Amino acid sequence: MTESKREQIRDIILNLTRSKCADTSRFISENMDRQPSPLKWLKVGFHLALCEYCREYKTQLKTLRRLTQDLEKEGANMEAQAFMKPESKERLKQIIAKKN
Amino acid sequence: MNQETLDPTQWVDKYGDSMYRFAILRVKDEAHADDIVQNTILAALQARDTYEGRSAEKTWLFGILKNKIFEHYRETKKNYKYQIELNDEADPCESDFDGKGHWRALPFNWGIDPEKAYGNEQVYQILSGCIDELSPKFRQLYVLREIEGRDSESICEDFDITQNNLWVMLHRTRNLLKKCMESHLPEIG
Repeated sequence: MTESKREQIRDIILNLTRSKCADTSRFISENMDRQPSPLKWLKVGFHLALCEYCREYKTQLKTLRRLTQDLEKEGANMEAQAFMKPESKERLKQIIAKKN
Repeated sequence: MNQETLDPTQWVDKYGDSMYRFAILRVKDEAHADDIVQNTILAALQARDTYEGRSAEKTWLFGILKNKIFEHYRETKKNYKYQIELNDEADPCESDFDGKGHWRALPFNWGIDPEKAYGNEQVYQILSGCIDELSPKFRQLYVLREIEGRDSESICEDFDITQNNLWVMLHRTRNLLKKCMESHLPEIG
């Protein structure tokens, strides 16, 4: 079966079941923030089983989440790391010396 | 058991940069990050008699820092409406769907394995830059959810917003970050 034929069949099934990628993409994101209802879980699962596009979108969101969570790991982004200005450090040290 | 003790004279050298980084990722603005670190140190000096040595010095300080950041969020809460508004950045993925609501093109494979990305500075640099570009309210909600790992219910309570509002905003934020990442990914090669 050719690629376009497969896409046509997928679109027909998705249209028949009124399962749109635009809605599914929203549910994929929403499911990352709460436990989906069984019905929604089934709907999204069914759509994902058929739709490579939404599967790829889901992978992207999962990658984004994982990278964000790792952002603060020591050494994960050494170059991107910001440093406190020396004058701010000096000011803080004076405050501490005064109050200590 | 060894009881931890506090040594304020070492705080700036030992934790200054990491506290500042922690703050800057969450509040964007350098001056605010500076103020927050300073307020943390002041609060810590004031509260040091209550330190019982049960947690490590660093953990204790970062606990205060988190509170100060949250205080900052509460102050800025008055400045924004935590819901989607007309002048917010539009959902950049909206035009990716055709009239029937299907993707026009296959979302492309980023070629990043998150398990192996650790240590790939460029990827994290791009992501930091993209988070920097977010508007303050999108950024705050995203950081609380994804970096602090707070659940939606508690975020909604703190910001007086409905779950639906939160989901719409988080979805929009993820799409903004997705597009931003994609515009920079070719640089990684």
